[in-house]
Order: sequence, then C-alpha cells, then structure tokens
Amino acid sequence: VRLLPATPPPGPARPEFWRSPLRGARLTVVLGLVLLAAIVVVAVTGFLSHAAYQPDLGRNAQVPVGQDLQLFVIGWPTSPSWLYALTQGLHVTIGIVAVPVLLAKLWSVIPRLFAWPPVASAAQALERLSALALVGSTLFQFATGITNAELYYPWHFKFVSAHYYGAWVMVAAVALHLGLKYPTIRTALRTRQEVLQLADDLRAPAPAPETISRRGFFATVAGASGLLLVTTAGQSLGGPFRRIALFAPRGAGVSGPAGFPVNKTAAVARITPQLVGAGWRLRLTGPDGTTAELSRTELMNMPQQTYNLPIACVEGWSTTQSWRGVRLTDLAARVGAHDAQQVRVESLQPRGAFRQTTLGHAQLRDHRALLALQVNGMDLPLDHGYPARIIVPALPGVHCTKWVGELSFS
Amino acid sequence: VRRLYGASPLHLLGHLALLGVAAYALSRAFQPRFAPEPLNLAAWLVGGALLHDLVLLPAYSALDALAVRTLHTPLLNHVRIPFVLSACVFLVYAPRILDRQPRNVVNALGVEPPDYLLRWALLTAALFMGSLLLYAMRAHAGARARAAARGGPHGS
Repeated sequence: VRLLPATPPPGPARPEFWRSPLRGARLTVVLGLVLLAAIVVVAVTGFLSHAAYQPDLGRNAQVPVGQDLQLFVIGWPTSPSWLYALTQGLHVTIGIVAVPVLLAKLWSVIPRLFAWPPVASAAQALERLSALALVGSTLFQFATGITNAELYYPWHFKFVSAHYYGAWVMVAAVALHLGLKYPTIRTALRTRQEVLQLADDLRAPAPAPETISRRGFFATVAGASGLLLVTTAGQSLGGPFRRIALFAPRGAGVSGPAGFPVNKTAAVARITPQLVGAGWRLRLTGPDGTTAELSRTELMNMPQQTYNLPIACVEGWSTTQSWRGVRLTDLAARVGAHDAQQVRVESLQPRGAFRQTTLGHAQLRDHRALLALQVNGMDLPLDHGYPARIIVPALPGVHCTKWVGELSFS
Repeated sequence: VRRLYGASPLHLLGHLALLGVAAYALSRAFQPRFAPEPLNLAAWLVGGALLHDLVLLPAYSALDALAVRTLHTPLLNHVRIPFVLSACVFLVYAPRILDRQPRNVVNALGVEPPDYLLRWALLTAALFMGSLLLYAMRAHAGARARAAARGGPHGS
C-alpha cells in the first residue's frame, strides 16, 4: 500500500529545490574526511582525559567504574610533564576549530534530510535513525563541550556524564556512518569528475550560476577555522600567542595573582582566612595509622625543590610556572610510608567534587611531584592554593588540589 | 533478508550494534542522579540537530539568497566571507560575547572578564573593512587595466 505520492510535494523534497552548484559527492567527502580527522583527535583526547582522571583510584571516578564502557584501564604517566596540556589543549582547540567544517559538512548534505519518500524500507528507516544519532550526538558534544569551556551551563544535567556518554554515541555513530559511506568515499575519490557527476545525487539537477568557486568555498571554511584557531589556541600555548587569544576564556587580558589565571577562586571554594591562618597544620597519615602535623614553617624548613611545570585545565587552558615546595615522597617518609602506592589528598574546601582526590603510584613517586608552597618566588597567593597545593607533572589541573589539609598514604 | 529489510545483513548488524551502544550509553546518562530532568537532556540531545537543520541552516541560506540577489559578484564575496568569519566566531563564543552567566566567570577567574562584545565588534569591523578595502583596490586596478586596454599600445 502506497501511503505517499510517488512525486514529492513542492519544496525541499524536490531535487530542483537545491540549487547550489557547489554541492556534490566530492565536496562532501573532502569536508567529511577533514571533519573525521578532527573528530578522531577530539574523541581520542577526550577518552585520554577520562584516563588522566584515574577513575580506578579512590573516589576519583566521575562516571562509575564498570559502567564507563572501557574494557581496560589506561595508566596515566607523569612524563612528559606537558602531556595533559597537549591532549586537553588539542581536545578543546580542535573541537572549536572544527566548528566551521562541521557546519559546512552538514550544509553539503542537507538535501538528504528531505529525500523522498522519507522512508522507503526498514533499512532506510534505520539509516535515518542512525543519521539522527550521528548529527544529534555530534552537535550535542560540540555544543556542550564548547559552552562548558566558556563557563556557561545552560542545561539541567551533569555535564561530565552527559558529555562522556554522548561521546560513545557519537563514536559509534561515526563508525557506522564510515562503514555505510565507505563505497561512496572510495568512488568519490577515485572516479573522474565527469563520470562521478552521472550518479551523484548531491549535485543540483538545475544549478544556479556559480557565485563562488569550490576552492573559494574551501578557503572560506579554512579561513573561519583559522580565525578560531588564532583567537583560541593562545590560552593553551601561552607566551605571545596568549595575547592574540581574543575570545578564549583564559586568553588575552585575563590573568590572576602571581601572573597567571585562576581556575577557581578561594571565595567560591569557601576558603576563609581563618581556615588558612597561623593555626593551619598539614595532617599526614601513614599506612599503619602513624600521623604527623606540620605547620607551614616546618614545611618550609624541609628540603625544597623547584620545577617549572604546567598546570592544565580540563577546559583546555594551561600555563607553565615555577613551583617550589616539598616532594610528596619526603612527606610520605615523615609517616613511615616509604613504599606507599597511593596518596589521598583532601582540601580544606568544605564541598565540591574535587575537594578530595587520589594520586596513583606514578604520580606519588615522580621526583617532581610536589606539595607546592611557593610559585614564581613568592608565597602561593590564596587563589592559587595557599598555604599548600599539589603540583604533579601531566596531572589534570583539578587533581592538583589547592588548600591542602590532609595527605593519607596507603 | 534483503527483500524484507532492504539492505544486506551486515547493514542490519551495524545498525543493531549502534542501537545497542546508544541504548546502553543513554541509559547511563539518563540515570536520575546525572539527569534529574530527563526531558531537558533529551531536548539537548536532539535539539541541536533540529535547531541546526530547521532553523539555523534555512536562516543563513535565506540571508545568502538575499545577498546573491542584491549584490553583484565580485562585491558579493567581499561581503560574504567576512560575514562567515565573524558569524563563526560569534556562534562559538556567543556565551562570552553576550556575557551569559557572568557570575560564573567572575567566581572562577577572580577578576572581571574583558569586554568580549567589544572585541567581537572590532574584529567584525576589521574583517569587513579589510575585505572592502581589498575590493576597492581590485576594482581600481581593474578599471585602470580596462582603461589601459582601451587606450591600446598607443595610449598615454
């Protein structure tokens, strides 16, 4: 039984409705391959960020372990120290830079949305559903990721879980899409333009006069991506590039105490001057229950180390500063934890997902892993974690706990 | 299978695999502790596709059609290209350009953020001015070349 007429109603369902002379299989394939490269980078660095949070340790997991669809745990190293700055800088920057390519790709295939008849078979119905999953999840990932990096949270769900599970839908949908389109991609790249045109359903049957060449179109997309790159990447690269990062939230014109930006102020973390005053003591606990309490003066009298290390935020920005403080292994020795495997770090801040964190063996044992007391030759400013904060190479910024109150070695 | 379904068994298998992954991932994301308002998450998951396909794309296509009708060709792209560049920056950085939820920024950074709207306005002005200046220079060079061609080899 035919429910719909064989000829489409006037409007976008008719092929003649789409008149741009630019559309065609090859344009879509080129845009698709560029977008694919970007999505691979964004997805891989996204899952690496999940690994960098070391969800298997303590209460680190943001998404429940065993429900995160990962078959194995990736151990997170401490070298090179700029590893997380690189992976997360790529995640955020490439995501932003890919937006014009994503828009161009979607523009190039829009006639397909209105193809007539809307559903011709069970197989086509499933393809439509998978296209919704593909476009819906991709736009969801870009929209939530970019707005989150801009400190704008217009939704009523937990960002981390939604962005994490959304990524699995996107990755699965992209993989299926590639499988489905593999023959088309091959044909579009290997067939001569004149032959390709004969079976190209994306080509306008009645094209309008050309107003921009295909090369001009690609150059415009590249120009838009390049402009986003230039106005964004500086918040990750630092140096002179930060001055031209005009729109990145930790870019041009944004700094903080000791000459670098803050991720979260003491005020918003509810750190009061009383909490960090002269009465502050660092509490250490060893695996056998040995405890010790150290004042800031006592900590300053321990051997001090200085390292230039980056802190890198999940929002994509990073900055390298000169940190000075006590080695975590020296503090472990104070409570007899000479072969401790882990350390649980607790902040003075009364609430928040990152008021406590657990560092693994590689992090604890790295000789550059510090309880920092000073930065750039001065005492830590309160907003950067006074009286003491964790600095570990290649560790996500939120795990470099500020306003540390207690270290428990085990 | 092909007659009933309309494609190869592999096609069916691939789609069932996607449905499986998506169903599991969404069932986790929709847990009440992550998504206390399930309709809000659902709206976000499909809303982007609907807004893009049925609002954003038709809107910029209509705007482009209007530009094509009103501007002649060399000038058209000198307006189109700075517009696209400026619009892409606006789309990506709209929350900061429009200064949405400004408390979040002040709370996090500890300082007032820069005036991103001013920066975007200046960038847009610079893009359009640069592009139109280029157009004027090209038009001028073209006019001179035409004048020289008309004058021929004996022209002054």
